[in-house]
Amino acid sequence: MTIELTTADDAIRFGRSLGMSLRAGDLVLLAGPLGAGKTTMTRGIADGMGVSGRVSSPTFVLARVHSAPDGGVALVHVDAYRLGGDLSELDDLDLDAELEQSAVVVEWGEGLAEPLSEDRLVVRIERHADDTRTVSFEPHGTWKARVDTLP
Amino acid sequence: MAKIIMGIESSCDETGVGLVAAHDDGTVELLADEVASSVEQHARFGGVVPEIASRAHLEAMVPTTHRAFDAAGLSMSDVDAVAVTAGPGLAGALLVGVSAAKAYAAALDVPLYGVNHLAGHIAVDTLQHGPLPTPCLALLVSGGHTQLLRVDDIAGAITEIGSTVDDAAGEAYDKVARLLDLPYPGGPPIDKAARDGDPQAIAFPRGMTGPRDAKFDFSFSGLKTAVARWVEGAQGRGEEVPVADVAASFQEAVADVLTAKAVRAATEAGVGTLVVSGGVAANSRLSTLARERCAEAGIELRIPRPRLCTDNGAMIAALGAHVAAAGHKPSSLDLSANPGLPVDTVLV
Amino acid sequence: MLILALDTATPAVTAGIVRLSGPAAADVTASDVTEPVAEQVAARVTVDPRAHGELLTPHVLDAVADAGITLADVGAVVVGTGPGPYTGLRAGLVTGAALAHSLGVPAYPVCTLDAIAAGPEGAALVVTDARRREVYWATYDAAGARTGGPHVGPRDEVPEPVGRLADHEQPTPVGIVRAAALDVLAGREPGPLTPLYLRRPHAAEPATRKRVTA
Repeated sequence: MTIELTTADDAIRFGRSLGMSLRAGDLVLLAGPLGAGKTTMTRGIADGMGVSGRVSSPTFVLARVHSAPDGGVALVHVDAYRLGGDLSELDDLDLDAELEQSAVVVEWGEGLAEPLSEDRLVVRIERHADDTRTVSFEPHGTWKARVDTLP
Repeated sequence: MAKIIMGIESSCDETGVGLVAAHDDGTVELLADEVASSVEQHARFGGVVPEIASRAHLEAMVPTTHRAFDAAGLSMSDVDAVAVTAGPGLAGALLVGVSAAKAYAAALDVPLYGVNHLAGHIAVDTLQHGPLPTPCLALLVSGGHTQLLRVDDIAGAITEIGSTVDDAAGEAYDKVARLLDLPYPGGPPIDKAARDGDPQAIAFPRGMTGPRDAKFDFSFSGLKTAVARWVEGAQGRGEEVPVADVAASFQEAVADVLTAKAVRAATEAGVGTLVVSGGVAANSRLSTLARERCAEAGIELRIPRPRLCTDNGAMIAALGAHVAAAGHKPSSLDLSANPGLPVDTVLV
Repeated sequence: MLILALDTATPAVTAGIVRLSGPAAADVTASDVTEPVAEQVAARVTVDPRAHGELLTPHVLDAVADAGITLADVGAVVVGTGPGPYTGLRAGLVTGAALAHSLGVPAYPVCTLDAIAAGPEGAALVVTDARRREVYWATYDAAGARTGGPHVGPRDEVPEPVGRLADHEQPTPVGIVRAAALDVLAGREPGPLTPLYLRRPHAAEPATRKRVTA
C-alpha cells in the first residue's frame, strides 16, 4: 500500500492520523532523503497524539520528549542523522525505558533502531521532481494487522 | 564572612566544577573554574553524542573537582553550599552532575541548590562585571540555545521574550561549517574564515523578520538551507566555493538578526543593560555588531570573557551564590534532573 | 569496619550499611580458617528502573540513619559497576566516587554479577536483564570464583546452569561487600570505578563508502 502526498498539509494530515493510532511501545522509523518532510510529518504525528511542545528536528540533542497532558502516551522524537549506525550510541537516551510509556519516532533510524521494538512501522517517503511525495509502509509485529487501518 | 559555593555543570559536553566566594556586600568572586571537555570525541559526529558525553562526565567528575579545589587552595570542608545544573540539557549528562552534587552535599552536610543552566549563563557575568543592574535583558546564544530573556531578579525572576523556533544559532554554525568542509564545532572556524570575506557578498535571508513574524523569535533553519542551496548551486556550476565570502555573509545574517532583535527588545522595554552570553557570544562579528548597535541605542553592553561564556561550573556556582544570598530554600536531595527545565524556573 | 554498599545496575536502587570483619590479608596464614564476615546493619532498596538518580542519595542517608551512624563512620564504599543497561548505572558510580572523595575513604568496584553470586555457597549461573531481548550472564564455581563472563547476548546463548540459577535477581548489600571483602580488608588500592558497559559504541563515523581497489 502506498499513498500520495501533494502538499506539506497532506504530510501533516497523514501524520495526524498516524499519530492518533499510536500507542505506548510503538516504534515508527521515518525514512527518506533530506527535505523529504520527515519533521513535517512528525509535526502531524505530535498533533494527532495531542502531545505538547514545538516539534523541530532535534539534531543537537538527538531526542526530544513531548509529554501528553493527563498522563497519556508521550512522543519521543529522535533524529539519528548524525550517528554512526550503532544502536549503543543511543543508549544514553534510554529509549527502551521510554518505550514502556511512549511512542518513539526516529528520523534516519533505519538499520539502527530496529531492535528497540517488535511493533514497528517503517514509513518510507520518496520525493519526486515535482515536489510531490509517495509514502510506502513496511509493517512489523502488530503493525502487520494495524497498517490497513491507516488512511 | 564569605561563603564558599561549589558549582557543578554537566548539561552537555563540558564537565565543569567551579568555586566562588560570596561576599557579604553581594559581590561574588571567582576562585576556581575547571573544565574537562569531550568535544573532540564528538567532532567526527558533527555534534554531541549523548552516550559519549555521559561516559566522559562520569570519568571526569571527581578528577575535575580535585583540580578545582587544588586551584583554589581550598579543602572540601571549606564548602558552604553545592549548586548544580538541574536542567535544561541532555538527560543522561545532567544525571551524572546531579548525582555527584547530591553526594557531595550529603557527605559535606551542606545545602544543595539545583539551578537552571540558562540562568547560570547570565549569572556568570557578575563574576567579571559585578552585580547586575535589573531589570536587564540577556541574549543567550550557544549550540543548544538561542534565547532573549528579561531578568528582573537573577535569583528568581527570569522571563522569556523570544527564542528560536527551530535550530539554535550554534547549531546553524555547525551545519554550515559542515557544508564548507570546516571542522566541528563550527563557530571558531567560520569566524576565522569570515575575516577574509565580504559580509555583503551574498544576501542570505534574515529569518523571522517579516511583518507577520513574532517580533523577538528567531529562526536559523531557513538560513542554513539557503546556504546549502547556494553552495550546491556553485558546486553544480563547477565553480569553486568562495568559503570566506559564504562564511562572512552567513555570519553577518546571524549577527544582524540577533543584535537587531536584542537591541529592539531592550529599547521597547526601556531596559538599559544587555548581557550577551553563551558559547556563540565569543563570536567576533556578533560582539562587534552588538557593541555598535548598543552604543547607538544608549544601552550598556556586558559580554563576559570567552572562557566564562562557554559552559562551566563557575557560572553555576555564581548562580548558586545569588540564590543562596536571596535566602531561597535549598533543593531536596531527591531532586531529579529536568532535561526540559523552563527558563523561568531558576531553582528546582 | 562499616562499609557503604551501593548498586544501580539492575532495576533496584540499592544502598546499605554492612559490618565487615575478618583478618587483614597480611595476617592470614595457610592454617588460618577465618573467613571474612559481612553482616547487614541497614539497607534501603527500591525497585524502580527510572528512579536511580532521584533515590540513591536519600537511600544512603536513610540507611546511615537506620544504622545509627553518620557518613563519617563509613570506612570504605563498595559500588556495583554493572553490567547494566540503565543510564542509572552511572548515578551509582558517580555517587560512590563523590561520597568516597569527600569522606576521604576508598571506593571499591565490584562486578554486579559477582555481587549477586556472592550470596549463598556453591556454583552459580547469574543472569540479569540487558534489555532488547538480551541478557547479561556469568558463571561461578563452587568456591565462588567467576569461571565465565560477564557476557551479553540472547537468552538462548546462555549455558545450562550448574548449581544455583540466579535469574534476574538483584545484589544485596552483603553480597556487594562480600565480593570486595578481601580487597577491603587488605586495604588494597582500589581499581577505577569504571562501568562494565559490554556493549560499546563503535569508533566508526558516518563514513562514505570507499572503494577497496582503484
